[in-house]
Amino acid sequence: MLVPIILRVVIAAIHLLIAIPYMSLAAEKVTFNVVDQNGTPVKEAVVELIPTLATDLSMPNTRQVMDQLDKQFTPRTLLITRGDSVAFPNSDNIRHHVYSFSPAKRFEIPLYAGTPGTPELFDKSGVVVIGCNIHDSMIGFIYVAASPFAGLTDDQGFTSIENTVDQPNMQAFQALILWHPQLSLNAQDTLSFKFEDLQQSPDGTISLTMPFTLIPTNTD
Amino acid sequence: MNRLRHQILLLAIVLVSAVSLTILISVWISTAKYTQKQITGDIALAERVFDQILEERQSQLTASARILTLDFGFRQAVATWDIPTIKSALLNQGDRISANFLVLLNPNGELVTSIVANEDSQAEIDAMDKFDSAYLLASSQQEGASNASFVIHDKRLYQVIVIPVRAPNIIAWAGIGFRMDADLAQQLLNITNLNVSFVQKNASETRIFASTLEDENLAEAIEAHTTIDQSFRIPLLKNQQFSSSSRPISDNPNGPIEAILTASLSEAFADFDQLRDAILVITIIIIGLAAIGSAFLSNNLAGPLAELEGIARRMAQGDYQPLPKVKTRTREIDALFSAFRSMGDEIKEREERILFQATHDPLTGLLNRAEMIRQLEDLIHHSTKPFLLLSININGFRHVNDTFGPAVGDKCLIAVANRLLDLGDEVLAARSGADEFHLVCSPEIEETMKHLGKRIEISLCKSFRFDSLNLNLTFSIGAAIFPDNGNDAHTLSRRAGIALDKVRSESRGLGYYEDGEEEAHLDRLALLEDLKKALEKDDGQLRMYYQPKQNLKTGEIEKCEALIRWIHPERKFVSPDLFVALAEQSGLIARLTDWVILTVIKQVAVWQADGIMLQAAINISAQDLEREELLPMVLDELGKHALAPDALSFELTERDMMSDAEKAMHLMENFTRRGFQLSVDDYGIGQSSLSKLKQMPVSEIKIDKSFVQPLEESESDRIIVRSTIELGHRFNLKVIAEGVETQKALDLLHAMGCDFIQGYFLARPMPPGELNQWLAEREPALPSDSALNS
Repeated sequence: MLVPIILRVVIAAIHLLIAIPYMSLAAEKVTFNVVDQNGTPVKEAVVELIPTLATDLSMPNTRQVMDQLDKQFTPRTLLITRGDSVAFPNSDNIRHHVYSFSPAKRFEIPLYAGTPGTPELFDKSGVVVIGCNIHDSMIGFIYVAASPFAGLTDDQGFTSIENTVDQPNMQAFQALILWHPQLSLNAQDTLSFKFEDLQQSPDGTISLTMPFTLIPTNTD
Repeated sequence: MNRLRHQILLLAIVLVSAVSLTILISVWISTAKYTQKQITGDIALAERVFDQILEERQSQLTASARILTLDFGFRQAVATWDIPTIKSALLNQGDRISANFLVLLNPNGELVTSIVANEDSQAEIDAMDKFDSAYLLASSQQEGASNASFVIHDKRLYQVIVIPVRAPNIIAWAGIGFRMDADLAQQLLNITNLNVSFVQKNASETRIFASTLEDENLAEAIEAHTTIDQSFRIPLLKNQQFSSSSRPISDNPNGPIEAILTASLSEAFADFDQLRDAILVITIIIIGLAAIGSAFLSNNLAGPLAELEGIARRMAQGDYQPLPKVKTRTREIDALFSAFRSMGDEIKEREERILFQATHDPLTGLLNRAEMIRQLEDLIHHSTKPFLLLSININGFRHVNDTFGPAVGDKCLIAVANRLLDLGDEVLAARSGADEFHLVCSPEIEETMKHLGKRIEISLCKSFRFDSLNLNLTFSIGAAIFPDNGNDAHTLSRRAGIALDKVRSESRGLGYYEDGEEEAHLDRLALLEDLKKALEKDDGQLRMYYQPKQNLKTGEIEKCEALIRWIHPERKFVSPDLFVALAEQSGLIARLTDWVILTVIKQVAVWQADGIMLQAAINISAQDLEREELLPMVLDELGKHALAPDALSFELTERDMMSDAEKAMHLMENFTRRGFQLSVDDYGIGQSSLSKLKQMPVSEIKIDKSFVQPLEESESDRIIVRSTIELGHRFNLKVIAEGVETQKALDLLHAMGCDFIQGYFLARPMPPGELNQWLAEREPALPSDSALNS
């Protein structure tokens, strides 16, 4: 495990050195607009940018919350960064049995009410599908991003990612990963785009089109 | 012609058959329709039930499958792809819900693992590796919320419930297969009461996966029509046995999979068939009963009728035996029989009466002529015993009737009949004419025929007494003797008749037929025939001769008598007395007289044209006198030849004139009124008195030649002639003497003052030509000088 980390740090350092001339600009925001094949805005889609240089960015270990309200995970889709913890408080007056069999994070919080003792730590990037064993209709997604350069689209399908890398424009990122639960049955699949393939509109917005027609969720 | 028996039978059978068959057919059809409707309804219901059951089964299976996929442990095992755990869980669940196999597919539909229920074969387990999981998934998703798919695997049909394994998103698919096998079909059969077959149909074949039907019926049943048309389920014929409807279960690339619901119509219609057969049997029984009943009835009717027919035939043949007692149960037939009985009696009585009337004279009760002849023939046929056949005529019976009235006449006839019958037990007595009788009588022992005849005549001629009337009748009896005068009834009767004629003409009482008389009679008949022909042909056989009459005062020939002559082609000269008498008897005299008159008128006309003025005298008979058309005819003919009535005169015999004097006088006046002269012929031989004669409108009397011929020798005749002449002159009548044959006679007559003479002395009757010559050459035959002087 150690060798690859060193390797990645070295590579990141090289990248950083190359990127220095571009970093002169102040931190900028890139806005993405995700639509489906019909142009309908796709919400709860995650756009994650893959930095060009491997950076071992600090783990904020932020504490996030995925509540359970009205037999729904709230929010349904939660974007966190690797290393974050998520608490699963139960705001319903019934009990829930929260679990996940996803490879990124397997856990189970047997029937409980209120707030369980410890939040779950998500230390692997990936998609974690959260379910409730006694309420099949309850489904929640936790997208564990590898870096903080990720955004969750709002109702209009927009999300902005702040470029905190000192490299101008988007050259700091080599690729873009797009995810939405509807992309695959097991919700694990993502779409990858090369940056040079992306078109940026004059106002700087990058449009991304999902290869499906959005199925409205019942929370809408 | 049909027999009554058959007609009744036919009618009954046709009627009963028509009614029964109508009922049969209507019950048949309506029941069949009802049953059909019922069955159709049952099938429709069963189909709905079937659908429902299949649906429910599916949700049950789905529910039980869901139990597996919802199991947290199972999900966990799947999520971690812990294959052994997954297999054991599947196996466990499969046992629990009696699934045949279970498969687990990854979300992309690739087979992850499969379990075959333990009772299934290894082959199936092996085959499971080739399980078409992609198709299963695709079809189950295509079929939507049902989660069910029907797959054919290893030649078997499975219903596979495919449900997602969620954690909570779909991490895998679990498929639980249930075989659609005969057990299931049987279960469905138990519920729906319809046979169930699971099949796959495509263009080339029908694959049958399972069926409750018997193998031998399978193909037929599956192909059977849905619609039922069993309005006529004719027994013993091949009827529609099945009604099948198909319920689509699933599409399949190799052809749709269907459940075929088959109703066995022979089962469904079993009750109907039973009912129908019962009705059929009842109908046949009814027709049979009707046939038997009508046969009985028609026997009851036709038997006696046939009997009656026989009786009627016997009656037609004249057999009126009392009718046999016939046992019938029908009052009408009994009535008919008694009517027949009384009819027979009455016909018998009537026939006897008619027969009696046909063979008997109603007045006297004697046989009639025909019957007498018949019985006589019988008698001759059966016996050779001699007998006498008498033909008896009452003389002057017309006078009896006229004088005493027909009642007395009838009494006379009856009395005569009784006398005839009294002659003996074995006599045959017949009344063969108004006043004619026939009698057949055998002589008694040692009695001669003549004696018998006399005995009969005597017994008949006794006087009759009716009340206060004492009547003496005379009879003319002609007799013929069997076997001497003939040996058959007709000959005997005819000969008796000839004998009677002879007796009558000779005014005798009894006469016997003598040999040869019949021949003479026949000869006269032949002569009469020849006369008829001669008149018809008018070929000169008959001709007129004229005998001149001389006026003694003047010596002139003023008149002549026209006399007919017949020169027969074979017999030559035929005596006028003979054939005129025959003509009078046969009524031919009228034609003869007409012919004479016409001929004479023509001749007179010729004479007058030649300047010969001769008055021709024509003999006419009493029969002629009575003919009304005679006088007009004579006048007409005279007119045609422009002759005056005095060209003709007529001579009538004294007998003719006097037989019915009153009538004759009246008729004669008609002639004299027209200007004809009438003279009395053959005067002197009749029985007339001069006193009667004077009343007659005659202008002349002719003294019969029987007085004139012996005038020279007989003083008495001279006295008669002289006094007759004197008397005639007293009555202002001219007197002519005929038969003058000598000068002496002429002289005597001249001396007596006779007006005319006629006779051979003067001239014979001559044909006209000769007469003409005679007239031209004649020296008047005058009284001799001595006579004149004396």
